[in-house]
Amino acid sequence: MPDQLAIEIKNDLAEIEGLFQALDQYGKTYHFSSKLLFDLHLVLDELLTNVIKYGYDDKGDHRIVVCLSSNPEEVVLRVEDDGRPFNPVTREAPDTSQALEQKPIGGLGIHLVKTLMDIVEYARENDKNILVIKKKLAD
Amino acid sequence: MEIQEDKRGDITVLSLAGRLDTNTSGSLEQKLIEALDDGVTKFIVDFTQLDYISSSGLRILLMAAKKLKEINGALVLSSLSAHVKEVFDIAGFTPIFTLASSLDEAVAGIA
Repeated sequence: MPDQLAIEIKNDLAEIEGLFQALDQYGKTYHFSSKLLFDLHLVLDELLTNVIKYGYDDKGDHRIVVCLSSNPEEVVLRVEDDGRPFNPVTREAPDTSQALEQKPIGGLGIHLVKTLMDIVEYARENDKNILVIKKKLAD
Repeated sequence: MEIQEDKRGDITVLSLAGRLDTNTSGSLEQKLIEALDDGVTKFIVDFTQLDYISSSGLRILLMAAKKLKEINGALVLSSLSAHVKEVFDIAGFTPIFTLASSLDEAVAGIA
């Protein structure tokens, strides 16, 4: 059985820092490369920032649950939030070939996640967004 | 993230250290706005000690590049790490920014 890291954070951007510390510790234990850790930081940063900034219709407290597990073949991330339905998988990729003048500000976070990871799956269950993201470790 | 501000002639050099993300990109935006208000039109942002960038950081750099293009200014980014460079590649930023491999090269390119 792969070891799992499960962390619950509040919908507060400042909480991401604590999650990153746990991620770094986990990565150290399982000898993640600096590139893999960089990518996992970025993926979690983009997803959680989106949820915390744009995911809720109210200003109340919400919980976001992040689970990280790994085995020799892959790293699996699972992010669960009770924000409004948002499926990043079906979001159209931005046109990254545009010239400076035409390039829109923003909209790149999800594109980074989908490009850096191998599998991104979305489900809406019990009024929750559930994202399962996999990064293959084998060559 | 730490931002150190230096002058090389009429060029303002902002050296970033640490992480350019949602929580820190506002401080870079503030520095850029202040310098633009002071009439600075030539910028180098040095990434030598920058470990990490997220889309929030990209956003500020894109806004700065657009603004400087409008006023015929210049923006050069120097010494991107391999990881940061890959983020630029994925975002389509590599062809639209002027990148330099060192601060000296950036200064030579802009002057």
